[in-house]
Amino acid sequence: MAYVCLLYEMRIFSYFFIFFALSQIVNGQAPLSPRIANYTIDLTLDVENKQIDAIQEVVWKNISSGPVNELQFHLYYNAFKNSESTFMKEGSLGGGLSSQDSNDCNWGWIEIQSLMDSAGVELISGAKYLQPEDDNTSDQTVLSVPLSTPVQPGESASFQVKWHSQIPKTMPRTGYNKDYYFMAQWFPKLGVYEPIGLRGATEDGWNCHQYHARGEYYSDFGSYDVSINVPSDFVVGASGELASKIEKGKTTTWRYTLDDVIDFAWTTSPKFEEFHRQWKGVDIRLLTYPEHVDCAPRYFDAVMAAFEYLDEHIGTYPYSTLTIVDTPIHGMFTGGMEYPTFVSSVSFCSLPEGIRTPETLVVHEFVHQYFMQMIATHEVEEPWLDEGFTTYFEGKILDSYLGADQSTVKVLGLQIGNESFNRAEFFNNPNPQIAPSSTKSYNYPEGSYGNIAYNKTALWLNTLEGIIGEESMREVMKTYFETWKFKHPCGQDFIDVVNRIVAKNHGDTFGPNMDWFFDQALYGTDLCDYAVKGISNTETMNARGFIEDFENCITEEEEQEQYNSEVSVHRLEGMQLPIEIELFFEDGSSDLKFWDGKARIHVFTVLSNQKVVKAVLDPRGKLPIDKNWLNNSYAVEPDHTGVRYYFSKFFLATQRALESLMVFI
Amino acid sequence: MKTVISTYLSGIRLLFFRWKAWGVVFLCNLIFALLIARPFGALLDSLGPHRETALKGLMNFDSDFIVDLGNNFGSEIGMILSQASIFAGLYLLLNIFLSGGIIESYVHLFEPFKFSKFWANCSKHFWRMLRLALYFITTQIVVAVVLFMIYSNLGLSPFELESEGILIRKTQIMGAIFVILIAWVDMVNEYAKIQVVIQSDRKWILPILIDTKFFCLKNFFSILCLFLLCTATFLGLLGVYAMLNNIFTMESMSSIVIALLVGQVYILFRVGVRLLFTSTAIDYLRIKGWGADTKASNLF
Repeated sequence: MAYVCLLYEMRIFSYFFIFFALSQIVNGQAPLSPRIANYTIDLTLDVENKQIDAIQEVVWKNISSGPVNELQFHLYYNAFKNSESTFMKEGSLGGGLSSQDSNDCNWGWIEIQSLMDSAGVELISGAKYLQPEDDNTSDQTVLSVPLSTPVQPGESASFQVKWHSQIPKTMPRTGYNKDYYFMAQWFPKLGVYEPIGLRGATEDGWNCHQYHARGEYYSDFGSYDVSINVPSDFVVGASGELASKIEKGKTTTWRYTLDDVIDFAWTTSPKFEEFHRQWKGVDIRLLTYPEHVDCAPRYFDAVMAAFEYLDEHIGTYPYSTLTIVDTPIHGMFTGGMEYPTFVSSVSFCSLPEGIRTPETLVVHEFVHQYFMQMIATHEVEEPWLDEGFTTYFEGKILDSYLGADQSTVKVLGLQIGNESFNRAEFFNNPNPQIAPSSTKSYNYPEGSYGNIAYNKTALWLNTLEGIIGEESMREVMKTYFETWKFKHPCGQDFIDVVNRIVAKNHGDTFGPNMDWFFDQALYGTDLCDYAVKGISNTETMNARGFIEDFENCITEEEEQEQYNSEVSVHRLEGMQLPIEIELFFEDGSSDLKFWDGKARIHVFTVLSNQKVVKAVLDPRGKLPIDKNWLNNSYAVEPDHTGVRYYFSKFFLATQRALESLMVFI
Repeated sequence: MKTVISTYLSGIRLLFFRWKAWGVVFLCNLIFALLIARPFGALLDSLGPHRETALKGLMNFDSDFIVDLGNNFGSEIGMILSQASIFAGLYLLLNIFLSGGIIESYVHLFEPFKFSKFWANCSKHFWRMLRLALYFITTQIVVAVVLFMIYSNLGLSPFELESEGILIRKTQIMGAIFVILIAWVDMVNEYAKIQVVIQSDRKWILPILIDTKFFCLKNFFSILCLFLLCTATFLGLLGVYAMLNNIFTMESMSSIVIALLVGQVYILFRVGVRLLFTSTAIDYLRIKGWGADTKASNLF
């Protein structure tokens, strides 16, 4: 019987291999990506036991110059196997299970039952778990499988994997709750075999990190063909296009296909309501729960604004679908995630329009289709390259769509823009200097990952834009995308693009390259604070006597009033950035000056017949990384109006608060 | 209902009749608000007048201004808030102190208002009023804690909810129960304060409290109507001020001064409405012969 089964599986396996080869030829179009790791998965969801059984075919291509004699798989679901995994030990995320119902066994796992190569050799017996980062032997999220026959350079090899998994109750990013399933990082997925030179690799080898509480994924491009068998009353949403939907009795098979992506995720629930909108041939599909349908137009309008913006400023979205999953309240752990052509967001019923959570999340996750999916950077080793860039573009899109001063919150007179929000998040960190933006995700000290990888990066990208100009920044981003789409760039690749574009557009205005900027903003932890310390105007005597010739004597009566004005500016923190200062004269005229921002103290001296009455550093707000804008200006004549206004407001509020206290007695 | 309305109107008359007591309470509010707000004003003075960025922030709600203020003056603001909480506590104590004098002045309607008498009455009743206040503060805390415990044991973990609609409905129900209970506690409190003053010969205040509860239950409809009328007056005042606030935009020094004056009138009336709860309660008690079996009835 076992032999018959083996022959049967081998036949399926051959069909798949032929299908895959033919699809490459028949398709005619050159693939967008190198399609190194390709998957065909046939799975069945057991909704009673919250389990999955699957047969998975993997075709993998060796693009290195040497033979490869092992495979490394991510088994992400083993992070939820017990409290001893690296994922659960790191940080407080382990509380996720206990916060739900500690009496139930809500853990999850994945087990590979069989892994055979194309010759039918069973490889799983030689497999072992690896812990490349922390030697935590309880961690089973990376599996090394030795091959019976090495894969030669340029060759493709195929493998058949039979696996079984227990779905955890919603953990961050994945799991089930009630009849809602959000299946992400759910299947045995190959790590990336990095050849010499890729992202600075000095030797060929697998890059396959353990699953950490902070930080996400890194995968190769490939094609996916996934058949999902679920009860017929369930609605399925997934990465890619729905190729077929076949109902057989109580089970329906939803088959989704997608090429040139780095991952595949799906969701299912019988309660999903479905909405569609089109954007230039892209089918945008929203799956939401009944109580959230009011948010549907908000999602669509925001994501359409993102489509428009990125199409104009970065490049074309090459896929035919985008699925947005609006999670139910019991599944909110899975909200705010990004997978190829598939994103999740969170909303609440009766959420005021001025609280832009749905817009912010859906735009942020959609931007990841560019920075994470098409530009497939390493999310674990260099999270700033995806999360920072995404936060930067999230701000750009929301500012243009909702207005810069209210793109995050506009409710009850309270208005907060995206950049303000980033400043608040980063500078309110108890120690914003705790780590540089270049830190690996799992090395961030507790509580600093989001503030630095997301907010600080967005702030210094905006600062970079302020320094080199909007046009140059736009060219940098476009060039970076065109150069590196469907590849695996690293941070230095982005810096190289910046250096190239800045040299082309600005010559050596900013020095031989922009490394000085990245050394501080990306690799450094110094803060930035410039301040105008004071203005002095001293009346000076003009030269008298015979100045220009021997005939005209300039006397004291003829001389004009003249002032020697000194404006003192200080650099209060370590970061050195070029900065503008605008000097205002008593006749209303102004003069914009430039300072390289290097010295600790700099005095601008102006000789004029007008007094300098005010000085404003960074008048156009080009340096949002400056931690204190309150000290960026100085006026000789104080104006108390603002202070009185605020004091009045505060005073009246205090009176009201005191009067309200009387309710207690 | 006729009695309720005439009592409400008498309460208003009583409020204006004892305008000096009203003025004292308002003055206390003004002084304590100044004590709390002044350090904040000094902080603003130290950074504002010469700073254009700060001024821009001051004239509009500017989240950058708020963020930078918090980031760069966090410890100063923390100190100001600590100081404010101390002043708020003292303000509560002062108002407990004043309540005895105010109630005495409302009760002895035919005696001229003299500050010497007023202060003497304040100190005479202070400890008993303080004890009563502690009773009611404790009662309010107990009500809040019990309701919160019930609320949190209703299975409201978001991971267990089918939808947040359930959460919203339960919150609304619990909120309504909370408001009703606190309103009841406030109503009893108002009448208990008066009874504690007029029955100053009774050593223990707990029996007075119990008597007052029975009195309030017995006359629940009238007392509730009076309470609702006073609450409606308070809400009406809030509405009027909100409208006025929209008219006055503080853009210049003169408009700031006008807005500040309008604000003071509003606070004066707000204090007045708070005293209206007491004055109407006194008038109602007077009609009812100072309660069913109070020993103080022979005073008048």
